[in-house]
Amino acid sequence: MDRLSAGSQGIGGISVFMGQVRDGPEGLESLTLEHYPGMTEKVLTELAAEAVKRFSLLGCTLIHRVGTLVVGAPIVFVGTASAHRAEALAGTNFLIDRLKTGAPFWKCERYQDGRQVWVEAREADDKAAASWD
Amino acid sequence: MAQDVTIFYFAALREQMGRERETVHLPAPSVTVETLIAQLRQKDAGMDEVFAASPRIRVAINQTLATFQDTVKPGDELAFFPPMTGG
Repeated sequence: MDRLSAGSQGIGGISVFMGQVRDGPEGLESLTLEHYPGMTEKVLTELAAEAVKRFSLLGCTLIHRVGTLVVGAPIVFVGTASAHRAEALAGTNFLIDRLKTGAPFWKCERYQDGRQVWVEAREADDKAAASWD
Repeated sequence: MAQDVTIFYFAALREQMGRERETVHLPAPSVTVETLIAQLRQKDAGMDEVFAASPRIRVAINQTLATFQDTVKPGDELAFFPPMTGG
């Protein structure tokens, strides 16, 4: 948060989204996030640059965790800063929508009974990402 | 060696393929992803089964999302994976 607001005296608003591991009815034990090293960094850097340009952001931070995480653990952090709130809020929405379907991460759920299931992509996420085209 | 590409597989596709990477020889100096995959599937029944069962497979060329109509050249890094589910 300090890093986001340190960029400029002209910052009037900061918007933050944090996604975390959600429990389900079937008793989730953990969530493992796999990624494509190299492409991940490239896509996140490009997304951040596009958001800064498109929404005139004065600050932008994207953090995504990989590996095995337990219920309640943070997965992703999106923070944006801008002169007025509308740009920061829109920039945050844009980044999380695009990141979910465009950055090379995959979730695998592990349940208490030992089952491991790869999370299926949701059509609603594709629609949300496409709404920014 | 001069006409090889590296292929990576991720997530469920990596598990189904039973390998995370391999090096393959291109049938020509410049082919589409579609052509390359068709040739590989002809020679590998296991791969054919995996790709037939996963209609939504995505491809990246040199770490950029691409389509099956894009061209692959020697030295390229290809990756196949299911739709992404991050965030």
